[in-house]
Amino acid sequence: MTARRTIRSTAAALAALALTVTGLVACGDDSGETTIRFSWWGNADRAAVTQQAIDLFESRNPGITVEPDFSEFADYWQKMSTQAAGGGLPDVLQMDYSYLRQYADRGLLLDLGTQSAQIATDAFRPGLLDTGVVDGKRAGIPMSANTLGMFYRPDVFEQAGVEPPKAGWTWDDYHRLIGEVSRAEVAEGMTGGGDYTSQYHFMELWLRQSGGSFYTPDGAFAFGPEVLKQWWTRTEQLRAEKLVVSPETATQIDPKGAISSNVAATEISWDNFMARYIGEGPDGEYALAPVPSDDPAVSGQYLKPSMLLSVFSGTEEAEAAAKLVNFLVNDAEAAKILGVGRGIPATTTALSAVTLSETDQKVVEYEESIAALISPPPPPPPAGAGSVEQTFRTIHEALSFGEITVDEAVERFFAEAQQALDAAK
Amino acid sequence: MAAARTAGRPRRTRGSKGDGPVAYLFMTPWLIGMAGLTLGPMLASLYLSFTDYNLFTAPEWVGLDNYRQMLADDQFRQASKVTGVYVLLATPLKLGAALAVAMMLVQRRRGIGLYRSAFYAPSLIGASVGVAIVWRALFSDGGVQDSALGAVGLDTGGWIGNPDYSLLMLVLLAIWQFGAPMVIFMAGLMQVPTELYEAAEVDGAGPWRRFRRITVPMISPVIFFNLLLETIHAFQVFASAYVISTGDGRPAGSTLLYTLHLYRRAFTDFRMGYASAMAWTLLVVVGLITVLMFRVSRTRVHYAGEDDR
Repeated sequence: MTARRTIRSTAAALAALALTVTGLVACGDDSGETTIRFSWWGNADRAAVTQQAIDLFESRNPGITVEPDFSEFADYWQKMSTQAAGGGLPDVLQMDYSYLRQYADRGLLLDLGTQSAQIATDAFRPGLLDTGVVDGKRAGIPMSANTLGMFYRPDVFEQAGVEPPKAGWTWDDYHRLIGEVSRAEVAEGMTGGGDYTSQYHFMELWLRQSGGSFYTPDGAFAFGPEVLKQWWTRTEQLRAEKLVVSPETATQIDPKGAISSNVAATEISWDNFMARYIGEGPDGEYALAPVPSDDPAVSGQYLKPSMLLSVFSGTEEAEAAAKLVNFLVNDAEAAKILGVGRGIPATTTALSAVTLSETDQKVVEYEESIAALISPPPPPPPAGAGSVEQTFRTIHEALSFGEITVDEAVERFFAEAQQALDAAK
Repeated sequence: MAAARTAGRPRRTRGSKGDGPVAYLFMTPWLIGMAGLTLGPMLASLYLSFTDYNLFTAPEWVGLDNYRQMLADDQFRQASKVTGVYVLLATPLKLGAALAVAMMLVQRRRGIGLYRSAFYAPSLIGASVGVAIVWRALFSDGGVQDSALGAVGLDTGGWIGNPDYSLLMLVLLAIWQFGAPMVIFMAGLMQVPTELYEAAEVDGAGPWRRFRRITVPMISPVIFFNLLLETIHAFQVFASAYVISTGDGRPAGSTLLYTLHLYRRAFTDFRMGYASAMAWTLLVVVGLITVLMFRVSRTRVHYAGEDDR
């Protein structure tokens, strides 16, 4: 009796076990045609237009199926790094400039130079295509581009009775203008601008204006403690007199921009943030002026790919993947569907195909107005640049709260940022 | 494992042998999960903590380097300090709130069930991202906290942007979620024999004395259990802090909890080895604190019926 019961219960347990196991392995491959995976970051709006573009691609290329997959920016990079660790990236992946070298250095990205039959490269805007080259290999194809600009609120300047920024202005002009607008107290909490020394991109711009750079070609810091000290001291007076956005306010409005939170009349930023600022509010208008520079002939600006497309080096469908890349950057109809949600398109074919809203038109006009000042881009940032960027901001924040001195901040930066670069090597 | 042993014992005394393997067989799905999803990764992380690993290249053995680097990591020190302060503030305050409310809610009154549910509700939603976002709004300039304090003449501005108060905001969020320990306290309070209170009252003991001399000793095992659990929880808080501090321990590192720093080292800097070492350090510290609490509890916790043995 007991023996039989044992057998019966053993059988039941085995059945239960079998169910669990089959649940785990029930995924096979039964398609005869080519399937490629395409991953990208973005929101639901972007998902809708991307799907439309994919549908068009599939109808034009019978036999190729595209499996899309998207997530938010931060989650996206976690997912990609985990997949890379597991040895399998998607066939086509949207790439960010600050991660390009990290992925390329690990041999994870296909040299798209080998796929030149599939990808047309003659329509790219000047200087842009080569931003995707790492150590002679075409690791990414730029999809859209942006450059730095000075956003400002014409209405606030008018109320304050201050002349807005204009081409040919200097950093001293900018500091004076911040003071004037802040003192005018147009509205509660309205200042002339934020403490722009918080971001390494702006320091890079400033360094480039005097012929320098942030990173050396082999990925070390191209400046010493004295220079960083100079940079963070620039706005010390403005901070002390409370003429820039206070650190308390800056923390609260995050992740919104200062200019779109009604606390600043100016903000240096990437020009494709125009749409974002309008989305964040307030009702004010935004205009774009060139960045300040002490030498009117050198602005330090370059066209930065705001997004690239890369292909996984381990893909079994390199040709189909390259076809998709080409379609997304070069095809006029695809450009029309995708619009400018990913930034101003990287190719002239796509740019002339998209319908530009009034806002987009402003950005395109701005880029045209400074076209003569655009200089060649720096080499792609080294692996670990993402954490350096964060370290830069965190230390600046402690400085702006007055918790550390400029000297301490400089010392901390070199200690922590160097560690971040070493760890990423 | 423990469950298997206790379940198996009475049967064996009855003489029906052979059910052991079957029990294990039924437990297999769970055991596979335990080994594959918990034990395996834990051992892997122990190994990784002695390596330099950035997810992309194979781990490289570096011995105790990661543990040594922690001592030199300014932000590690900052994170440990913030976490220490957080645990010391949040745990006792949360338990105090839970006990106080539990004592009010054990009374048998009409509609008490409604109140019990109402007080428990925050615990169900408190750890969610949505509440963390609401919390950010409550503690901004011009938010509820700013206006309320401003009305009584305390002008601190929104706590979210003030490094002196921002951690307090997280502590308050923890206190607000007192539901789980409250329910456990209520169960404990209901076990205290009413005769004890009646006798004490007859002897002229006031409410404070009754609380001090009867309630606390009688529910001391429950207090100990809650203290243990909540201390461990406090060390592990992550999601709400991540949202409130925008993932960076802002402002100025004042809310940089240990788990946030660990996450940042792992997923921003891709220093998986270092992050694993941090995780194991946390495990050991929490383990030591638990052992210490058990030691102290031997003299402080009264288990009913223990004296009879």
